[in-house]
Amino acid sequence: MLAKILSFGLNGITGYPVQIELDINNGLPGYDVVGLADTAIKESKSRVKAAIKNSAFNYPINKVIINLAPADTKKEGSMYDLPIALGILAAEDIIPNKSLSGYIILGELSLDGEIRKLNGILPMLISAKQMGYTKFIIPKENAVEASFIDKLEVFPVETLKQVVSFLKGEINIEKLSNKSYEDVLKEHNYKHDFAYVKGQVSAKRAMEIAAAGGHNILLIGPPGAGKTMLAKCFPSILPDMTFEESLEVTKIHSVAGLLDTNRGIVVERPFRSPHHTATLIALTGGGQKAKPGEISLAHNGVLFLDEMPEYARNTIETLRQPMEDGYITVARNALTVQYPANFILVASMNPCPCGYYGSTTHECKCTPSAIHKYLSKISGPLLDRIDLHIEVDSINYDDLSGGELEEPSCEIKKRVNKAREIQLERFKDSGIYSNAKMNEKEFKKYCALNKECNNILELAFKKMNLSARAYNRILKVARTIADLDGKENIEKQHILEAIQYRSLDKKYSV
Amino acid sequence: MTIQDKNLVWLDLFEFLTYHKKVKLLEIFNVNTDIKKSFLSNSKLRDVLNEQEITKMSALTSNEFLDRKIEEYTKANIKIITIYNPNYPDMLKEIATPPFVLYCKGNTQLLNSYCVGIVGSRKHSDYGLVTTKQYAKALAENNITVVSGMAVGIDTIAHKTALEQTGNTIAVLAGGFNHIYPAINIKLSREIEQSNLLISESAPDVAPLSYLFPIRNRIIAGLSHAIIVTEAGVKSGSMHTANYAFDFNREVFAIPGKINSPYSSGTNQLIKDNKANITLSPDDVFEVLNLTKKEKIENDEIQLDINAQLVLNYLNAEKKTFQQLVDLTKLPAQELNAILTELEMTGMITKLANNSYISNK
Repeated sequence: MLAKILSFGLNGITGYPVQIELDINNGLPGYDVVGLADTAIKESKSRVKAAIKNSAFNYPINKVIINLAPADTKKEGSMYDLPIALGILAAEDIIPNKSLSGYIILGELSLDGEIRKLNGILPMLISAKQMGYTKFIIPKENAVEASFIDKLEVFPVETLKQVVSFLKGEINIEKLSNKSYEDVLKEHNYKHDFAYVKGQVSAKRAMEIAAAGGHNILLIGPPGAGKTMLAKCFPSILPDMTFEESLEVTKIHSVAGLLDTNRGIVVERPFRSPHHTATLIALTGGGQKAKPGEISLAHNGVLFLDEMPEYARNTIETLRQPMEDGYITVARNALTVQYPANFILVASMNPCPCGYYGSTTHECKCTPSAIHKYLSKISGPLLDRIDLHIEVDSINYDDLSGGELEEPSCEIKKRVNKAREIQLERFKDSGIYSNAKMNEKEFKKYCALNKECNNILELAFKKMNLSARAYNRILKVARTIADLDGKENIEKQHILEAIQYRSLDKKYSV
Repeated sequence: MTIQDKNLVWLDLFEFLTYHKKVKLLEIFNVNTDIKKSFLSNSKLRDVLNEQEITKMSALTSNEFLDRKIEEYTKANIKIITIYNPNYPDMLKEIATPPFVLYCKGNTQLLNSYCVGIVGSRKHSDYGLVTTKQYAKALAENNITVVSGMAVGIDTIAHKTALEQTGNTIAVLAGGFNHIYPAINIKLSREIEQSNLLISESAPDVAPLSYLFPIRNRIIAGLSHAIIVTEAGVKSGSMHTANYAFDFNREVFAIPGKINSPYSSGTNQLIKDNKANITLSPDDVFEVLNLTKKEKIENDEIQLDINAQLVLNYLNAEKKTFQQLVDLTKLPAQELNAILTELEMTGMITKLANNSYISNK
C-alpha cells in the first residue's frame, strides 16, 4: 500500500516542501529511507516503531520503504518522525489516506508517542504560507511561535494517538488562534535600563545618537568603567522592532534553536556578545550544516564585541563585508545559505593593554610602543565603519552612592523614535532606513554644509589632527544629531558636537 | 666636496669605527690626502685596527664606491657638513668630542641659529604635556630653535609645538636617515625636513642601535645654549643630556614636579644635585640666558559665549573630566561637547586621555 504525506524542510532560513512517499511491501521486515536523509532521519526507525506500538497500533511486519522527495536535496532533522508514522498508519489503512491530503505535517516523536518540539517551525511556516499552503499539523510546544502568522489553519498536537483520532474525525482539535505582536510587545520590558546607569552622560548621549542614526559605536575606557553595562542597556533605547523585523529575527533564532517557546517570537532586539576567543565560523556562521553565526543572530539588534583588540585579527576583519552588505552568504559543501546580518556594532576596548592609560587612580605600566601596538590592532578599514568613538570615564564613589534614578531608557527611546521617523521619511524610496547607511549620493544631498560649518570642519581638521576618514563619519553623525534636534539642516553646534566623537582619530597622546 | 670631507665620509661607512678609533686614524693619516690610497701602506695602521677591520676597509678603497655613496646621499637630499665645513656649528666645536660629520636634511642654516634643547621622557604625565607645550611655544615664538631627539613623548611634543608655532626646530637622530626611529614619527620627520632640520651623526645606513642614543644626546646638549628638562624619570635618557649639558657648561633647567611622582623623579633629582636651575616659567629661561622676550602679541580676543567662558574658567583652575564638567556647569552633554570642541579648536584647551580636558594656559 502506498501513502503520500507533505512535510517541510529547511535550507538556512527558507523552507521547501518535502513529499514523503511510503510504500509497504511484502518481504522481510525492514525500514529503508531513501532521498539523502541524514542520520537523525534514519534513526527515526526506532522512534516511529516504538511510538506506533506504544500508542496501541500495529506496526506492519513487512518491508517499509520511505522516499523523501526531492531526492537530490540533503534533508536533516527529526521533523519527519510524525509524517512517517502517520504514513505507515495510512498505508495500513488505520487512518484514511484521504484525510492526510492538504496538511503539512511536522513533528518529532518520543518513544511513548508524544510529540516533541522542533527548531525552525516559524521559517518553515512562513515559506509554506508564501507557497500557498494553509493547513498544518505541528507540535503543541511550537504553537506560540506559529500563532503569530495569520491566515493559516494550524493544529497543535500532543500525541500520536491524538493526531490519529483527529484525522479519523473522532475528535476535534481547536485551530490555533492568532496572537497579536503588539500585545506581546506591550507586555515586554527590557532587563537593563539606563535609569540604573549612574553618570556617564557623555557615553549615554553618544549611545542615544548611535541608536538614532543606526551608527556603530566604540567605547573606550578603563576596566570597571561600565562599558559592558552601557552596551547591555543599548538595545533598550533602540526603536521597537516592527513585526516584519521581529519575524526575521525569530526565523534565525528558531533555526538556531534559541527561541524561547513560551514567548514564541523575539520581541527584544537581540544582544549578542560573543567571547573574544570566538572563532571566525562562530561569528559568521557555518559548520557542516551552515548554521547562522553570531552576526546573524544579532540581526536587527546589537553585536557587542567586548575588548575588541583581544579578538583574532582575521575574525573581526571578516565583519567588514557583512557590515557593509547587511547579510552574509555561508557557502558549504552541501548547501549555500544567505543569512541576514544587519546589526549595530557596539565595541569596547581599554585605552592601553593594562587599561589604566590616563587614569588618575592607577599608574599605567605600558610603554608607548605597547599602547600604539594595542590601538593599531583595530585596522583602519574597520575603524572606518565605526562612526562614534567615545571615552567612558571611570566612575567615582559619589556617582555610585547617589540614590536617585537617572533618565529611563523609555524617555531616551522617545527621542530616538522621533529621529528615526525623520530618517524614514527622508529615505522613503531609497531602500535604506538610517543615516549610518547613507551612500555617496544621499550623503551629498543630505549632509550639505553651510559656509560657517564648512569653516569649522576645515579648522578642526587642521588643528586637531583628524584623519581624512573622519570626514564622512563626522558629517553622518552631525546629520543624526540634527535629526535628534529636529533641525532640517546641519548647524554649527551639530558639527561641533560630532567632532568630539572621533577620539581615536586624533593622535592619542599628542 | 673637499678631500677632507671625503675622507671623513669614507670613514663613516664603517660602523665598527668608533669615535675613539676615528680620532686615532686621523692622527696617523694626513687628512689632506686621500686616506684610501695610502691606507694599507701606513705602518701604524695595525696599532689602531685589527686584521679583520683592515681587510674590510681595504676591500672598499675605490673612488667609484665612495662617489656612488655620495651621489646616493645627494639624491636623497642629504647634505653633508663635516667639521672642516665653515657651516659647521661653532657651538658643537666647543665640546670635547664633536661629531666629525653631520648628515643633514632640511634647512642647514638652523645649525648656527640660537638653539635651546627641550628634552624629557617618552612616558609623560599631563603635567609634562602642558609644560612642554608652554616652553616650546615660548621659545618658538621668540625665534629660538627648539632642539630635541624626536623620541616619542616629550621630544615629540616639543617638535610639534615648535612646528605649530611656525618656529624653528632641529631633531637630532641617533640612527641614520634610512632608519627613521621611532617609526611612528616618520610623518613628523618629513614635516621637520621640509623647512626645519633633521641631523644625525650616523651615516644614513646605520641602524638606530641602543648605544647610539646616549652618544646622540651629547649633540643635543652641544648644539644648545641651554637644556630644559620638562619631565623625566631618573633613568630617562634626558638625564644624560642634562649631564652632558652640565659638563659642557650649558645652562640646564629643570621643571620641578611632585616629589612622589615617578614622572618627575629625574628633574627633581637634577634640582637637588644642583645641576639644574629651577624654572617656574619660560621667563626664567629668557632671564638666565639674557634674552629679551618679545612682548606677547595678543591674538585677537576671541569672543566666547557665557557658557564657553564658564567651562574655560573651570579648566583654568585644574584639569577636569567630562563628567566633572557636567556636574559643575549643569550643561547638557550635547552642548558641553560642542563647547569643548570649539575651545579645543581655538587652541585654548587640550583633550587628554580618559576623557579629561586641561587648559593650555
